[in-house]
Amino acid sequence: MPESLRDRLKALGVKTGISSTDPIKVERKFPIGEVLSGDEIHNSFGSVFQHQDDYPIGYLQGNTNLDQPIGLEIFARWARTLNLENLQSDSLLFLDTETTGLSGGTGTYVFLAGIGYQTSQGFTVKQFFLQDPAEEAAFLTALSEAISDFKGIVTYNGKSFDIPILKTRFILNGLTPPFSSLGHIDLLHLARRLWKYRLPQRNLGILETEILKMARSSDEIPGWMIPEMYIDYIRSGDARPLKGVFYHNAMDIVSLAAVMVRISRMISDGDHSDEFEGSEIMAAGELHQTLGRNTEAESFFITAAEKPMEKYHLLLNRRKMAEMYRKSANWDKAIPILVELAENGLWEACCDLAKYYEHTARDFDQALRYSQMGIVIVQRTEITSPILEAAQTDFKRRLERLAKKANRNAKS
Amino acid sequence: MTQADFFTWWPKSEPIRPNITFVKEYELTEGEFRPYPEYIAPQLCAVLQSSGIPLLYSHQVECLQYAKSGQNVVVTTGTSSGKTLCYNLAILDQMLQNTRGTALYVFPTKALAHDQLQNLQSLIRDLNQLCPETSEKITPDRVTVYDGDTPGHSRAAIRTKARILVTNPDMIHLGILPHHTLWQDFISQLEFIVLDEIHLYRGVFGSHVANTIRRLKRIVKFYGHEPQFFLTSATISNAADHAAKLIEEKVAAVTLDGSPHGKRTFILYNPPIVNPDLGIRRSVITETNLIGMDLFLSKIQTIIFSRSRREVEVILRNLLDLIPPSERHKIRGYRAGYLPKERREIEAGLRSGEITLTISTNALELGIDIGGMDAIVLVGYPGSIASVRQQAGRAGRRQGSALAVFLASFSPLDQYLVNHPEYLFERSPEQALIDPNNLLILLSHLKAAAFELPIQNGEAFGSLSWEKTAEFLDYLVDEGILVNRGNRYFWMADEYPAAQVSLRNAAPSQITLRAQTGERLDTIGIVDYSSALWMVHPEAIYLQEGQQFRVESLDLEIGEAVLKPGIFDYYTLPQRDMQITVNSILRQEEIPGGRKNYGEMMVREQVTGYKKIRWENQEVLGVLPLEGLPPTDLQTTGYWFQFDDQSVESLKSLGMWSSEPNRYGKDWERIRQAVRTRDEFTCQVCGKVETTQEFHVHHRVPFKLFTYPTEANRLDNLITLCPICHLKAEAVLRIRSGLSGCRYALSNLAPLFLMCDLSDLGSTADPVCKFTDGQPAVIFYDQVPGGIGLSEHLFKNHTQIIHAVREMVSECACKDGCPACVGASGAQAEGGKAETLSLLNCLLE
Repeated sequence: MPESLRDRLKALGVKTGISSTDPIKVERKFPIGEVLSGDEIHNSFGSVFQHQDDYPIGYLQGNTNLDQPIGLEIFARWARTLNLENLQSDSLLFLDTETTGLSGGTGTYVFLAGIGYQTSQGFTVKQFFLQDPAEEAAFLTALSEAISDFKGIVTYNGKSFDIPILKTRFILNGLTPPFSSLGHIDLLHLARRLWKYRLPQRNLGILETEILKMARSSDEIPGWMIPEMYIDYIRSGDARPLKGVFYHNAMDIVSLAAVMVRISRMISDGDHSDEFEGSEIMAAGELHQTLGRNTEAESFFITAAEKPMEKYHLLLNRRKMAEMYRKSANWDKAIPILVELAENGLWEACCDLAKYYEHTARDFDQALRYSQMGIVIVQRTEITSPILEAAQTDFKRRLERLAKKANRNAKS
Repeated sequence: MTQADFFTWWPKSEPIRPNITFVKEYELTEGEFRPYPEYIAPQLCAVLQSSGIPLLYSHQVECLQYAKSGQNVVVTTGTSSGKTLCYNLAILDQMLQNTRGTALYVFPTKALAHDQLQNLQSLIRDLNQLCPETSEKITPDRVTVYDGDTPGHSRAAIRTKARILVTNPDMIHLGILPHHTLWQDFISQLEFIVLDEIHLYRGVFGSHVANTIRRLKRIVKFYGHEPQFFLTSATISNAADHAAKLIEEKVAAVTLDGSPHGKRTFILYNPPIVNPDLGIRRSVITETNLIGMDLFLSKIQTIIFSRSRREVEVILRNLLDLIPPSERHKIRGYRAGYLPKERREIEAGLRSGEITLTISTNALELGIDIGGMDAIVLVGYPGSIASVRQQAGRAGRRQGSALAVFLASFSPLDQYLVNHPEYLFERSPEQALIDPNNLLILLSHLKAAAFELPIQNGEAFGSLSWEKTAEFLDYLVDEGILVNRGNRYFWMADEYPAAQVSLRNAAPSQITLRAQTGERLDTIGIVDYSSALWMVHPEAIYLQEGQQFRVESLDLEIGEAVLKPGIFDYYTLPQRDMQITVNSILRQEEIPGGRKNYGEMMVREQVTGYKKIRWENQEVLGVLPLEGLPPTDLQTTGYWFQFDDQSVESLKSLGMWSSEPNRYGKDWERIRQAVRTRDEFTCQVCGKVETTQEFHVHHRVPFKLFTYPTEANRLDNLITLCPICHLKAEAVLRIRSGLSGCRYALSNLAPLFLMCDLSDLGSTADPVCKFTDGQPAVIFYDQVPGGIGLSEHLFKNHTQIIHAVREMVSECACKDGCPACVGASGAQAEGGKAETLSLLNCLLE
């Protein structure tokens, strides 16, 4: 009797029968339509299940109200997607996907694509679900059509993850990805900047609990379980466990929008609102500075200085202000801060002051004073590093140079 | 004296002359030149002509013509015949005409890839300089390498900008195909694929590569293209077939070499016999020293090719010791383990002539441009005729003469070749064999293919029929890895299949070797699971790169062996118990002397102990048991032949060993008496008692297998037998001996026909074989799960191979057997020569 392929593979040492393959015994299938409310969207490739949740005006995600207007100008400038600059926030789409794996190769599917957007009645989340891999073309087309109403996309880590995977899915189905004409704001990178002093990690979950002060309901499913749950559903036809996945995805999108609202307020109101912590205001100031908005940056740094902050952050704040003033040659404002920092033991400030006094003010006594102060600080520091060594050399050279100049002055 | 004079004088000089078995003179050939075809872009012709190539070789033009007609081509002309230009010219020509097309260049190693990259970029740079308008079409920065060393931040740019991508099969398998959508721009314009040195894609590696090509073609087709293939190969007997099998398409072959060659002399050299009785020859290393010195002192630029890295170091050490310190900078070693910077230095030194003597492994065999050498010495057979030709092919410049010497070592294959020059010079019997449909290999690639793109119902995978493909796919559905929906098979798991497959081995699990070097445990190598059991069993002595280690522990569960470096005066040989069960006989045929079979078998091996053997004199220091090592089961294909009763009878009639007293030492008479007395003059087998005639005293372990007569004649090795039982006992010994000899000789000669390594084929001999109804049998099997085609090939070519084996054994200069024919006498005894010949003769009525 001819041996089956399975027997022959087993004999060759292939471990057959992975543990979770026992066909999951259910009495009957539970299609998604029986588990969640939704519509069948039709297009030329077939039909797709779509679920919708509406969040009314005044809905709070944690402590944040979703239906605030978001000033897009700064986001657009920072993300360098200037086509979004003059738009209203209702032309934005918040996007998050659930996939069958993290490897991102051609074998990873997007099985749930959620989009959120502001409406006149509040905030709406629509979720498209891949009931069967054979329907992928229909699924992608429905998503594509929904996206076409918008001008920009907001994601969390979408630049590295969600969008490339979606593009792959479109290409594999012979369809053109719809993302090339859309502006893209990936809040992950902005969040890292703005909360780098306040939070040790900046994934969306941490932002949700620490910044939005929000806790999810018991419907929540942790992200790492999700791929397996979809794969189980494909084999068993039982969509009941997926309810939590829809919830997880929807919450991700709503939190994303809430975070954006919060960031918007932080950037525009940070210097005159009590809502924000000192470290956040300082970070927002840095952002303004990066974008060349020095007036705002100044205002933010000053405000931050008056808020309770860790000593290290306070010092950092002062340094940033000094730096800002120094760069714009605003010496009246720069020098007092630099002196304060130098007296607090910062050799970099001594260095800046020495340079200023030597080359700009041409006050060699002061230059000498700060060079000596600087070299003492550096020599007292126990840790050595190439930077400190270079600083020491620099101070020594400066002292020599100043000595020569002093001599010449004395002679002449 | 001049070089030419040296080459005339040296083979006739006294220490050398008697050891030469054959000389082949290749006269100067002018080469066959052709003008550049008119359809080739004039700018290309101009840049090549200005770089010293006024005309093309005939085979280059032949290749261009096939290329122009849209056919796939394989070029199998020799080393340094300008094979690279064959495809570079065709492809660059197309790129000048069509601005969008792309090309994929696949090389078997990273080193070769980088080398060819430089050449190609250099050519394009010259082209752009001479004809600036070509910069719009192609520039050197559009030719890039993409392999495991390519930094992450450059990869995205390469994907969109590259027109010619240089890579290797492993990168295609792991880095490109599973992410092919990122390569959409490149692949959707892919017009050409170059596969270089395809004779290296054989065995397990070749089977993996064939499947990777199936996947690649499938993806390129998805993007709407069917690329044209250019392949190159060393000269093997099935180059065109191999090429066709690799890409599963028709391939035109260009074989006639039109490149010119200077005068070349090829010498086959066999070290002289130093022990006529045992037939032992002088060591090949000693000869290498002599010949190497001769060449070096006559200032002949030479490469000595050696078979292992360790041997390279040994020869290098020897020669450096013989040469005055002021000259030592002219001698270098070369092997893959050296740093790239060092290798570039040595290659440059070779080109400039500063380095006059290089000792190298086969790393210098491939492609890398070092100019031609004046002399090449091959120390021992490098493993394939193709390699012999590649290595010897390094000898020769345009002008002047060159010399190649094949120095035979004391191994059966070398000894056979040195006396059968036709194998080296005429048609090679070697075939590159692959089995792309090996179950394990195929399975892993089908998984990867499904991951890359859902498989349609009815879509065949390469040349595998849909029915067979579906069998695999349905199996994978049952395993929960694929789902079958809407007419397609979709990947539905969260693994990443390509990462689980290494293209270079078939066995799934590996053992890491970690050694105490300094304070930490460093990883020094990897061994596959089944090899680990006999290579790095606890207490084994393991050698790597000239260093000795002793295995302290082997943990099979976590996959780790811990070794300690040291200096030992002995090495170890594992004792392996083997049991074979035949699952099915697929083919069977009557042959003279018995029957040959091919089928599926399971080979169960268990390491039960090991021998400690002193390096110096091969003395056995001890035999120690090993407990607790699990058996390994290998399910594979095998080939065996069995001897019928007639053949066995003819062995018995070979004549009895005489029991003359002086043959067994001077005390023999006394010992004989003592044994018969001890046994009470009774036959120990049938119980008959001596009457008129004295009974015989039989050595259980044959006398000739011992080094010292006193050991052979120990009382516990002697037994009284009546003449009839004695005859039977001797017959059994003869059969065992003849079978062992057959096995030894055949296993050593088989690689000549199979182009595999000795270790790819397992073998054993059984005088009373269970699965041949008790008839004596010699058995061979593929050391790869599922088999890879070696046994089948042996089955098909049985007669030809047995002929060669018989020739080898009967021509051997030894009296009774030696390591160069049927195996040594002494502690590691194999077969008796006469017995082996008798059996071989039966097989060839």
